[in-house]
Amino acid sequence: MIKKDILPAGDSETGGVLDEIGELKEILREVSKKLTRIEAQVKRGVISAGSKTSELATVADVAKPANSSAVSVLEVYEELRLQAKNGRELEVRQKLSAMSATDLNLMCCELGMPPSSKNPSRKKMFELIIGRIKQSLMLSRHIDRQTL
Amino acid sequence: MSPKSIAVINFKGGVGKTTVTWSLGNIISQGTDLEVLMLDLDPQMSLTEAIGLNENTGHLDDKFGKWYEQSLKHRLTIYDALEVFKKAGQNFKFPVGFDTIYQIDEQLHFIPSVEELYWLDLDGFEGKSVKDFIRQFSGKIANSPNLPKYDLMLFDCSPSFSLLTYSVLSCCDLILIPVNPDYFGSRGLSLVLNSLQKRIEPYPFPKIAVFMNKAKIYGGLLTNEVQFYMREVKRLCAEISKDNNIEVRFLESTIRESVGLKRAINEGELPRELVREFEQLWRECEEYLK
Repeated sequence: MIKKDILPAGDSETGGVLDEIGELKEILREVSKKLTRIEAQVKRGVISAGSKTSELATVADVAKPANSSAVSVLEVYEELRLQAKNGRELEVRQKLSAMSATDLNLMCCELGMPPSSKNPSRKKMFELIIGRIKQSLMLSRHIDRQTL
Repeated sequence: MSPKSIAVINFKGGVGKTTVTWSLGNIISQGTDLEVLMLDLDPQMSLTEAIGLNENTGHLDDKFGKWYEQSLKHRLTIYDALEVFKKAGQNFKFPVGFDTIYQIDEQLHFIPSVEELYWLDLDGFEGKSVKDFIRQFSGKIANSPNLPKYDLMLFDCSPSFSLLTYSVLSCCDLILIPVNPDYFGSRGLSLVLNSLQKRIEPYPFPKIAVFMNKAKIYGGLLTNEVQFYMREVKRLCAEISKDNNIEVRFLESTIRESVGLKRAINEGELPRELVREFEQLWRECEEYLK
């Protein structure tokens, strides 16, 4: 039902108020978008900075400082994906083992699978990342019976 | 000039083929001067049901239902046309008019699906004999003096590889593939593209466009998960284009996941933000079709 159906003809004042409310809602939506963007950036920053001071970080983790921006972990993921595509699974695992827990966590988040617990195990994060790589490879896999 | 044809398809069910067809049909017919014909080729009949539910008559009068009953009674549905085509082949004669095509409004018309489409295989139809059906049927519509000169035909295809899907894909101008930000929704793309070249052998080869549908948004931004699948699907499109020497374009338009869309198809108008997104999708398709 449209606005002119609800309002009696000539009631332009009420119509004007409704328009203003509509505009304000649009502005609030924009503000909300910007706040979310800032929130996401802050969260990433917290994850990046958090490793050295985390009580649960292992000694090995502390020795491996976070490198990490969202862009760089995605570049690493792309390297891993290509290695996996070429059948170099061992190298993928070695590379993941060499990464700090913070970077693994950030990679999980950037791949759209934030670990469910606050302090996820490395094993869990490994599984999540390997799962994503596997999906990527399987998406383009096509077995042609003729070529078997 | 014959109308441009777009087939909305994905071999995975539930990716939103029907809502995309319905929304595009509405957006184009309301926002441009184009005459649009939508065709429901899916025996699940979701689009057909939606047209019946969505009629804005203001009362309970079932205008579409009554028209549909007459169309079935007088054997004027797309299934009946297909039966005639099977027997007659190149001498195909079928009276296309407003008994076969339903007028939703001035610029948006519709050919509904029928249950019998489920049983095409059992009814003795074969791929070879059906392949040219949509080409010939569209030709009849385009040349009919009793019908408007449609600018665009939009096909809502079934999620499986049916005989009618085969017929549409072998002759349409654009194959529009909605994918979802999940593994199975994205995998359907790979299945369509592989079967297209190896099994369907369309002529001329259609353009193929892929876009992300039902994208989750958080605070106005695409979630990381959506972005992951967008990158993967984009890469898949590029790989398939390169390996098979065909043009598969990943469109920038993204349609968000929205309860409003599901409601709109049954109850009324599209939410405003979705109107903008579908308008953008149409602009990209139109540009690509040139």
